[in-house]
Amino acid sequence: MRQSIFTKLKQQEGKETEKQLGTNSVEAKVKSALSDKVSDNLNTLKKAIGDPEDLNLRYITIGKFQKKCGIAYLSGITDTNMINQEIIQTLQQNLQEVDGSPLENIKLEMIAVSSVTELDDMKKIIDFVLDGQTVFFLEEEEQALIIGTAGGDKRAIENPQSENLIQGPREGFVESLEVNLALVRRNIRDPSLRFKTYEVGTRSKQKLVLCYVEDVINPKILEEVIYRLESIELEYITDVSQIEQWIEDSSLSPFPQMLSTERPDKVAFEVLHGRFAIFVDGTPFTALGPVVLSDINKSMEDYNQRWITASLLRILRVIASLIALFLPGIYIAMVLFHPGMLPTTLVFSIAASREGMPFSAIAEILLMAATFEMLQEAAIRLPRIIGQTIGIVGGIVIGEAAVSAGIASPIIVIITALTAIASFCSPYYSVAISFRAVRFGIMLVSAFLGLFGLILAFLVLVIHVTNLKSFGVPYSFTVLPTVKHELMDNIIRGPITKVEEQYIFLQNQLKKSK
Amino acid sequence: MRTVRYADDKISNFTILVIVPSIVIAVGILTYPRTLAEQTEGADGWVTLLIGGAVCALTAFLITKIASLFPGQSFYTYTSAMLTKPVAFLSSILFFLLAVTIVSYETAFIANISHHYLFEKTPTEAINLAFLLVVLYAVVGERVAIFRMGFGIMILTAVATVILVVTALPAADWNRMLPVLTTDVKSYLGELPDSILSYSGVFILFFYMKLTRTPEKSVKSAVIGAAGVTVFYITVYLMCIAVLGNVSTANTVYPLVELANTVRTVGFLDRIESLYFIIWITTVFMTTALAFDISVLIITDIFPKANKTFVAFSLLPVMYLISLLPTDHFQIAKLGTIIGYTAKGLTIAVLAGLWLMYGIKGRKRKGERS
Repeated sequence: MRQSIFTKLKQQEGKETEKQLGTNSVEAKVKSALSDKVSDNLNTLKKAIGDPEDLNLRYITIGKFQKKCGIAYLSGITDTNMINQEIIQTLQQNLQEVDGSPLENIKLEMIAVSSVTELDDMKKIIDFVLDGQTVFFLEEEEQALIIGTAGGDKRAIENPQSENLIQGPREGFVESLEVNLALVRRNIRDPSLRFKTYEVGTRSKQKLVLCYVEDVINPKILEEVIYRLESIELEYITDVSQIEQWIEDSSLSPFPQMLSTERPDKVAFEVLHGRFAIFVDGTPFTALGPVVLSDINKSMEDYNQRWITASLLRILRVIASLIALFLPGIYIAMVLFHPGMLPTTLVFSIAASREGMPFSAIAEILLMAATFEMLQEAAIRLPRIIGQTIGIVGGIVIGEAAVSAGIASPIIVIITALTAIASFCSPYYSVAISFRAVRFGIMLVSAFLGLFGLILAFLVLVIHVTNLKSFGVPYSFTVLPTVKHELMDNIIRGPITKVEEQYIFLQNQLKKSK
Repeated sequence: MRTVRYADDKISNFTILVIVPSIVIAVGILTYPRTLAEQTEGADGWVTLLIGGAVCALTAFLITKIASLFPGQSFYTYTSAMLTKPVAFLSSILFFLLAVTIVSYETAFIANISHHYLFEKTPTEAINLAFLLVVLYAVVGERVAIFRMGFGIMILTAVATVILVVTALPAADWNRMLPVLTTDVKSYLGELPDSILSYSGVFILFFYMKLTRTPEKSVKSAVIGAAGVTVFYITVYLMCIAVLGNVSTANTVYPLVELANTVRTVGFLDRIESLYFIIWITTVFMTTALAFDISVLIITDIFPKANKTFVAFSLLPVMYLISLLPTDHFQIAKLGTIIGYTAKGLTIAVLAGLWLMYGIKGRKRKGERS
């Protein structure tokens, strides 16, 4: 029986692959050569893409020249105004005489659009039409013109949602690749700024752009990125983080090996300092690499504040990450194993607050931590209007009811809240979210082995970080071993006159090691 | 994803400088002020500590110098060339056994002392195993990563020591140091072996020297590293005497812990010595990781085809079993003494053989030339 189901599935699979082959073969049947009749060409095009609702076919007669021609485009992803005014209107009202090759003449003198190219391959024409260009066929010509009319509605440039700064540029990337590249280009007016384009997906044909500055990036890093990008076999990319996951060094690590950003100023800053950026069409996020440990503590705003303030903020963030990782673990170790290490008065107040509690310290803290995680997840999923309810419910349930019902002690509530606040001090959401998992691990180890377990967990983290690499650059590079010029933009952000020396490692790491 | 290696596995002089204190400073720092104070008067132990440090620096110099004459060659290769293959094999295996025992010894010591100070209920077997597994994790990774970590831990230890010394300063009574140099020569001589043993472990330079990029310059780094350890030892010893006095130092099992215990000025934690313990555990961890790595390195040097991960994993049960053998503090201390003497004896024997042969062959070469 089981086997029969299996064979059935297999048969179905077979059918599906046949079907796929079938659809492919429609495209395969499309003759790449063009006919000299406009109607034939338009019909082939119509057939190939299945006569969709948004396909517009239009026959025009050129003004004085009196020749039949046709255009085709997909509405919605094209700039209709441009098509109406610069193509249809100019052609219909044309009063010029035509001498020589008519298509050449139309291209050079009539169509008032900046980008026009000649093509004679139907398959490529279809690709261009699907990309938002307009195709122009002329009677008695076996060539077509591709007119750059890509456009359509785009989101306006807004303040970046996930990386708000108090002081700094207000621009954020949008979903359109062209706009994003333009935003970077506007910041870097350097002839050696490179945008290398790749296509991802055999069907979606999404554009992926690798951005770097030729003279600045370490060629070894560049070579490695290109090698990894070429290995990508994704059909559709919803966000650049999928690319990150595909090309990162270690997929088991809790530390991000590339950083996402939606700020053009950040991309410009990092690219000028020897990093590369990856853009994907359809997402406002950009991935930056390679990344080292000290980078996950840096916010773009650090450079926009005076250096002492910025340094203090960075130290604050380091302390916050340590709290986010270790505080619940330390509490568990202290209460379960080493109450003698705490000041006597604190021990008494902890003991008093824990009096009559039904659960052990570890069970209590796990309960509260899990509740907090659930609240957080629920708050993200809920529509914004109901979202406030979660805040009230969470505040009352966690803060008040749990304590007065005797399920959790007040000190546990304080620790859970402090940990939660500390974990969101990180400038990157991906860091905050992965530290949550590490924190639970540390809590468990401390419950078994106390401070000894905590220090072992710390050692394991250190070993992991020293072994980790991001595109061949050791992750601990700027922290261990620390060299003088790398101290200036690390935990402290030195005076702006000193910071520029920082990024030598990305460019010249090889030279140095030799 | 394929792994990239741009930075090759070579190490810098600075790493050699880090390795020396990393291996030398280990479990011994807890006890050496006691053994010193037992046999000397006042603060006179610094004399033997200085001599011990000088011996350590000299050993480090001789090891790195002879190794730098064979740049890029492993211990096994150049010893085979100088002293025939069987001798090279035998000495390699002896060093290997020594390294394995060091790992077990450090683990047993850590487990014993954690059991004593941090938690009484947890069985030592579990502590041993947890500790060894973390060491294994470090060894299975990249070798350069261990050195990077060593640098971090060295800084951590240095900062902790400076904090300890500074916070203990108000409690120091400098009159306890006086009178100076009252110990007789006989007591100095009786104490000297202990002092020299506090500095054991430099033999690992025999094996790590093949990794350096500039062997010539590494000689200096190794000597600087040994000098750093000497300064560290003397500072901590003088602090112990100044704060606790000679008599109580001599009668405390772990004088360093007692020293940390006197510091109660830090308001948040009552028992700061437990905090110092944690840093001390990382230091011992570093020594253990280096010894483990050396034992793996010796095997892969002799049998180049051996898989590093496989060797490390198969050594683990052996080390674990040996670490369970000593049952109490005295047996562990005894094991420590045996290891110290073996390490020194073996190092001196091998060094003597190598330099002797170098002298003879070098002279021959000179004779051929002229």
